[in-house]
Amino acid sequence: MVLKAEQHGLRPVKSGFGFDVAAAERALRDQWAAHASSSEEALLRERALNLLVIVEGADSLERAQAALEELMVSHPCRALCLVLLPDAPARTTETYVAARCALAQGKSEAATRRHLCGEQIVLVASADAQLELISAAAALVSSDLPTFAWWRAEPCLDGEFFARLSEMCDRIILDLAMARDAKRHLRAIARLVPTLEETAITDLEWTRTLDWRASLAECYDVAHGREAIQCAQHIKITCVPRHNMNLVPQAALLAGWLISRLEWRVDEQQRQILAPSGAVRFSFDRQQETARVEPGSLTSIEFEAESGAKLSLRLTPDGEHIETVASESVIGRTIRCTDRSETCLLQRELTELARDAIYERAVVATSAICDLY
Amino acid sequence: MTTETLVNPLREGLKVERAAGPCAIIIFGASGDLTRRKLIPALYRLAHQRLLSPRFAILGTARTEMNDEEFRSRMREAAAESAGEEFDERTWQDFAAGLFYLTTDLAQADAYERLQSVLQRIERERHTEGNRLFYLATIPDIFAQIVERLGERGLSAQLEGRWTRLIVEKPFGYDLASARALNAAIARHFGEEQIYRIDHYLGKETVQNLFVLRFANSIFEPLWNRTHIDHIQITNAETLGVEGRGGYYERAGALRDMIQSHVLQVVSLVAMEPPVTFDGDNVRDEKMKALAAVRPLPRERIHEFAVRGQYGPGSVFGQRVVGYREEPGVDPQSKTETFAALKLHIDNWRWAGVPFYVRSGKRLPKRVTEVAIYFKKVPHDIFVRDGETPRSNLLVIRIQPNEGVTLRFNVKLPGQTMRMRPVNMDFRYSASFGSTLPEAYERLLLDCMLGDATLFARRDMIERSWEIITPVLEAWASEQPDFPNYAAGTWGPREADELLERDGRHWRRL
Repeated sequence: MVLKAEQHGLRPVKSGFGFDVAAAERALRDQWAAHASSSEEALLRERALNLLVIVEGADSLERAQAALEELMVSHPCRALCLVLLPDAPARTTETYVAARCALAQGKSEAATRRHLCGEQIVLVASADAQLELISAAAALVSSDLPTFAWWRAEPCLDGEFFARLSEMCDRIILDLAMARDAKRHLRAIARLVPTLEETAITDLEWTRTLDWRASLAECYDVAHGREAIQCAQHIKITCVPRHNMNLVPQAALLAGWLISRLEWRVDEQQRQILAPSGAVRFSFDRQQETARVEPGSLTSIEFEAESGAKLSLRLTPDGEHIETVASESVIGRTIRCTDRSETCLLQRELTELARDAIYERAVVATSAICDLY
Repeated sequence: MTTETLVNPLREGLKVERAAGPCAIIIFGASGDLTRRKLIPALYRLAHQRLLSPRFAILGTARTEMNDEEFRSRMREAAAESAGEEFDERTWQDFAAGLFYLTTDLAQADAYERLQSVLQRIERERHTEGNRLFYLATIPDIFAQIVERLGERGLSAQLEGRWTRLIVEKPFGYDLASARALNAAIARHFGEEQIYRIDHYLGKETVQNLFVLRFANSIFEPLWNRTHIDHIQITNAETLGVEGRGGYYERAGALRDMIQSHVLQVVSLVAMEPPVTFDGDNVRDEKMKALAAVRPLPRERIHEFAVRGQYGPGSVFGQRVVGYREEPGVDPQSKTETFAALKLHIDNWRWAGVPFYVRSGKRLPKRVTEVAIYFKKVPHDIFVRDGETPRSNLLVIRIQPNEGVTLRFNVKLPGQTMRMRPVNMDFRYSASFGSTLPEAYERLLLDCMLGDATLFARRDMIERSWEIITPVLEAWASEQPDFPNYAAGTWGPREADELLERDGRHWRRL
């Protein structure tokens, strides 16, 4: 067996090469029956959605597992973990199942002693068994429930596997923080977006910029902030770089978002960005790593307009708050950043189902500026 | 007057796109329980979620002697208690910089002059752009007087490009005459579009879900009429007694306190026709039409349509409790009802012949607020030979607690005989979405700052609600009740059961 199954309460389901979907369902039924007879408190087996988690390697599953177990409480679901093992011997396939229960949190007296339960199925496959893997997943998703995929690995947006995955999912959540070549993936997403029909695609790196986007939107409400943003000649975005990364996705996506929202134009021939007030120069600075700030995170954004209007948003040294500072005597603001743990980011993403047009436009603009910087 | 709204392209697609613009909130009665327990925690949470503009100010005013710092310190305690682990000191510091307090005796001649002067200073400091929201959180007796003084000083006026709004807490009057008088007094200085009569029930997530359930699902609306529905029961049951509010409750009673406001609002949501769009007056027009169609209750036969009760000693949740007349602040000979039940008819094409039974009471066995829609029985029972009678289908919308929706239907019991059993298909907010539901005041305060009156009661709706219950109030005032007539911890007086039994029906067993 490839996984240390017992560590996460996973029970192996024996089969030869390929996946025995019926055996997995039977094994889960047995687990539920055992739970029901051993638990002294009420079990509420709930499936509000299907969540497919795509990881590469057993270690990566370990890291996703903690987030997944927390997610089961806020989004009780059937979680299908698809573990890709590129280096495993050919014809490797394994299946594991687990019933997951947590005490429900609730204000009402009735909710306090009730276990809220979801279930997990782990399917492991070597490189040559990926189509078997995706077909098993297709058979195991519960019909008619919202289906999400969390691609917690280097994305691979072309090929049969991705095509089949996007057919069965309402929303695919990538994480370009996992990407070795973010530029290439941003371009691939930009090309993919117009071809998607019902499936939505998003990126946790985009979700990580939410606090910054919200703070900038607040600044835009005020005349001084609006002037600094609209008429900016120079925009400096600073972040803590991630090791070996040619581009920091959060910084690039924030720039792409500003360009698309403010309807600025990317002139690829002249290699410049044009706003109605003139050319806008973006600069991407790197700040040294600090213990309190995750690599790849934004730490500041500064706007400077020709009129002298300035606006600056900074992450506080504790990494917990964003401070807004304007050059005039307008009221600054300090806002606590929302929880950026993987679990919380995903919790937020799982409440969305529709396509995110703002992200899609931003990623197209980001892709266009990739070559400029 | 309309105010120009800035289009902010950066807000689009953000969850904070409904954030409020700059404004000053002036709370009358700021030393009271409502401000501490509900308003400030709700405003803090809005700030925490970035839904409050950085350029806001809150000016609390009351008779209690306090300075700004003392007010901030008291409110910090309240916000921290309410937010629990979510409380963030830096966000609070930012929020608290916009909190101010003015000690005032509103009866004094110069009180409003001082208020105006302090407000103007704060508005300058906080750049609130002259937008003002007055919140009446005082005792209702002085609502009219406050509004009169605001009007006299020109504080109710809306200057070009600015807005001025007024939130009025319930109770909106004591009876029809006083409600009309209050509405008239307010209308002398504020336009109807400036007035937001708050009923926190309408801000509850599950009450708002009624709109979604009815108008975003094509399976329910075709059944939502006299052809398919037998009757509707609306229950608002509390396990608590008057909790130290005996003085207030003595003047109110269950009919005024719950039925006239919350329960009739829920009736209107269940009975209304689909609005053209989900906004302000389109929704309120349809709700008003439903209330207007409620058949007047005949005063001379009021016992056929209305039941009242008052709890005596008993036990609730396994604990002995005193009767209403033994509660502090309550007259030992009190005639105030702690339970009320009504049978209503709505005279329109949709609801002709479908009774709405509503009940509300204190010291009942369980805390539950729900709407139960009883569908008609099948027209012909093909299982009668097997001695089986299918139960009516039932749709239950639980407003609190265990918020959710349940649909009851019949299934065959496994086995060789054709026996059946009703089962429930259940949706629970807590199970499907896990999270804790937002507080009603957050939603309503934000809506008011955004100028969205959809979830607020309108003048005609308030007056119509009082009209509906006036015959009951008059009939009850003229009779001596035989109180107490139900023991605490039971489902109200026997007459409440008879109200349905006369029609061959029963209250839902909860």
